[in-house]
Amino acid sequence: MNTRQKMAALAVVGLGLSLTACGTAEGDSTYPSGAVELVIPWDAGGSSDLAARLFGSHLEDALGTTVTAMNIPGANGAQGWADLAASEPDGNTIGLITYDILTNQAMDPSATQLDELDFLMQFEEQPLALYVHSEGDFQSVDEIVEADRQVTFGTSGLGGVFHQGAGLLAQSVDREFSYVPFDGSGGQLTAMVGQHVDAIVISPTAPQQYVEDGTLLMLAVFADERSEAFPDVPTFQELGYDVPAHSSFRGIAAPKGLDDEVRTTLVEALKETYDSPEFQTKAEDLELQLTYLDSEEFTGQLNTMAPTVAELLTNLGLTE
Amino acid sequence: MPTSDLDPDNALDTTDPEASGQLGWQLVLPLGFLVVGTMILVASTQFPDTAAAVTAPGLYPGIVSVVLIVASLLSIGELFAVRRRRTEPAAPVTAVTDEERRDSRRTWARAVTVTVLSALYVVVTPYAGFVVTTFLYCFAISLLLRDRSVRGVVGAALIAGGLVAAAYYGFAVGLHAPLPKGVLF
Amino acid sequence: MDFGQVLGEVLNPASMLWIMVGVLAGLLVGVIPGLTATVAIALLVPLTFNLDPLHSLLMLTGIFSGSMYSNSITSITLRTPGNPAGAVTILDGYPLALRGEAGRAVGLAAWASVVGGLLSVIALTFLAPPLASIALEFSPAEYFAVGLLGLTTVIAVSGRSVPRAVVATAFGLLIGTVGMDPLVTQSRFTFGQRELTTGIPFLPAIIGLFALAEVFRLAGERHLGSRAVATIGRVLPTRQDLRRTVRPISLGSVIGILVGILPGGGGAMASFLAYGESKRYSRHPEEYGKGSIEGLTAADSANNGVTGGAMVPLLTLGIPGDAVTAVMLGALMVQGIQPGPRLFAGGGDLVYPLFFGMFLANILMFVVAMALAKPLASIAMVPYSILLPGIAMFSFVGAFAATGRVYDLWVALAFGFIGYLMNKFDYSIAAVALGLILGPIIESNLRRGLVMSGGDWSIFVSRPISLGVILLAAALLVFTVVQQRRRRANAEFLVE
Repeated sequence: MNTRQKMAALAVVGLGLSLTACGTAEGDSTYPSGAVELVIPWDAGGSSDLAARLFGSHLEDALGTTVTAMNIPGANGAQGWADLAASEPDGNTIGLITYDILTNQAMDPSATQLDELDFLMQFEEQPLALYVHSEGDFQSVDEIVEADRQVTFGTSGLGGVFHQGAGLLAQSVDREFSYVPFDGSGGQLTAMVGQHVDAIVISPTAPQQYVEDGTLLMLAVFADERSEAFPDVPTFQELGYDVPAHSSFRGIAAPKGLDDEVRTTLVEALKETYDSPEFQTKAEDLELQLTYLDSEEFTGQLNTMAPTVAELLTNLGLTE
Repeated sequence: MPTSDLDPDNALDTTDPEASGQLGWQLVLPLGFLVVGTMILVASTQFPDTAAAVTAPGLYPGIVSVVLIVASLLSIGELFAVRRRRTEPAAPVTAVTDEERRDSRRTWARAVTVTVLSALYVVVTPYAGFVVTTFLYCFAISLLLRDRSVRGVVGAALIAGGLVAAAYYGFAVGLHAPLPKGVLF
Repeated sequence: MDFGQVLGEVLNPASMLWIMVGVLAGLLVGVIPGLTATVAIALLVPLTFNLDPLHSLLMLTGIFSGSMYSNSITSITLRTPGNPAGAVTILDGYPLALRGEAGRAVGLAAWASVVGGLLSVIALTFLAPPLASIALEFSPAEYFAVGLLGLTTVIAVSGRSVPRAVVATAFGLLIGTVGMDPLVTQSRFTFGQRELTTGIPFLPAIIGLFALAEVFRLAGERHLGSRAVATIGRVLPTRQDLRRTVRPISLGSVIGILVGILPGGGGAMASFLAYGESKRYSRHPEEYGKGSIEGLTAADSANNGVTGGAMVPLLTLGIPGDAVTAVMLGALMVQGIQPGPRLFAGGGDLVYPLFFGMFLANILMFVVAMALAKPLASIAMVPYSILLPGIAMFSFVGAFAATGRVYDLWVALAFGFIGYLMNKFDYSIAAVALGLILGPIIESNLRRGLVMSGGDWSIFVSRPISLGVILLAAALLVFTVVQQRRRRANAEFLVE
């Protein structure tokens, strides 16, 4: 047992005692002063939560202070983002951003809007892909598009990013599918493996081993170019369908109105965290698709996507 | 304690003053449920028609609220039936002594106080914060159950302090779990 | 990997230490109201980033088992559930404590938990792949059917009147519909209150119904002594108790394992089902709800049976069945391990030591639990002047801790009032809890099934498993009602 393990053991055993010392160092005005709170608008334990916690734990080194993960789930992330937007812009509160902020903004005018937050960086982006069961009725995109019966798509939840992916396909081939929302991507994948739905659109990490053992077929990716990780899987364009690129992403934002100095420190620390080999290794283990965008690029991308998402949701009948 | 069962030894106990007396009080719950059921039933029929009529949001709550309404009506009927069946007073009437009356008044006051305190606690906490509000809340409840002597008051304060410290160190410090924060603290 | 190697991986100081750490942390967190196994594991996952994969898994499963047991302690002594499944433990555990037998209840709960846990690990070790195929067979139609089956349990927890039992259940089911609709964009029954769109949170509601309601009741008790009981009785289960609980524990364990395998099942549903079934087969059904050791052990063995069951889909399919295993999946992935078919095919280098470790964790848990049983059960003897403010405070803190919203305090308070009134007028609050647990499962799967079939209701009876379960539910309902009619008739005959 090495020293780090011993340290961890001590930390757990003395749960109450060992942590009392943390996060009380306040006083001088230089940022960071005291612990930084990382708002995670999802339940503890989900993939977004883990990605954020992993990022947060490495941000501690770059920032030189404690980073406390704070789960504020509810209303498809809207609760957490509302709290983030309303928090003091002193750099002591930052939050995880996911695709759903676009969905919420489009579906509910009272949800947090893009201009209420300061998007600092994107650290991950995963293009989605279309999957079917290898023993199912449909074995290719053509068969799905030309099916003479209703095709059911499993989704991870109503209006979620995977639902929208399927909607994009429907929109571009001008037909309607029926969508069965499950509780999260786990239920969605189970339903596909158990052949209770005809197809799913999902990000490639979880289903990969089922593709490898021949249970599922990965038919096409929602991207402009083939993915490096899956060079054998065509894009929709190659198959002759005009389906736009579609990906889920994760990034970090702070409330609007950060002090310039604080912002610079924070942005640098975020970049440093992203570049650190320790984070890169761990992120690879967690199968995160690391893709860095700086604040400007990330904000630009969000603003470009927003109208597309709004239009798509209207077509899916999900906006009022 | 809810005693269980459709079982024989639990057959409707009409000698229980709680279960038989004060029809007005007994009607509070079934009538409340009746209102809840009706509100939900009405709301269920008013969802806008969407394309996905198969999965209309009002379908399932509509069915369940009808069940609730019917069952509430039946349980109201049950109350009246029990009342009618009983022709003589349930419990032998005994003279109520002054002491008992005072006792009962004190108990009643205590129950109301705890209830009001709890409601106040929820109202005040977001302003005054966890530590202060919880201390006062625990202190007050504890005091209700102790002698109003110096010893009793000091004891109640110690108990309240100990409980607040336990919660604070256990949750906020030890586990980084959230405790209510107030405007003041 | 042969058995010797497996032993070597686990029976060394480092592995044993991590099992111990996990079990202790789980026991500790479990006794704190509002902190469920999920929260505990999520809080401790960052600490596992630097551990080796086996050690981190051993610790996490230790937490899982430990907290599943220890939440029974507060349910028994304080009527404050540490997690949703605690609602069932309360039904018989708390009456036992009020009778001065808190020690017996805590001891038997530990025994039931450890047996349930051990059996589930055995099932996991030898039957994981076939069990996993059951999980895949379950479509929304089957889940709906199982939800209906669960509803028949209401008979076991209902009060004296059928209409009132139905009222309570329907009320619980309706509470579950408040908030965003699960299938279309529509918020329901929020009556203009923005906070209600997130729905009525489960744990605060349960805490209010059981714990706060009890505070209000005790405050209104006419002859409240200085403490509830002056004794907790013996902790170590007697041989007679062990013999009497063989059947409920085996039944509970099997139900726990099966429910655990189903994604979305969870400990609360398993406990309810086990409680209802064991009552059906019991020779003393009249004791249920008044301190039956059979009901208590059935619920607790089911609760821990879930621990092994829930690991089945996680390890064999790579699909987490509930919140706890979802967190574990994340912890595994941080270690670079993707559970699923590959993990088993890879020779089980991690899997078999893990199983053996889980086995040991259960045994360790029992030893620690028995060692601590006396002081923990003694909570039941705490004077009211400490107990009442304590329960009230921990109810609010527990309700708040899960999500950190003031709204949750209001929910706990409101349900405290409702629970108080329902207790007073003999409406079963356990039935409300049952409705709360099953409502979302029943509704969303009903509607998913209808979407899949294009609105054709026959989907629920045209699939063999679904049809079978629905028939079973109907048969059990009829059987129980007839049985109780007969018992009542007999009793009236005897009276006359």
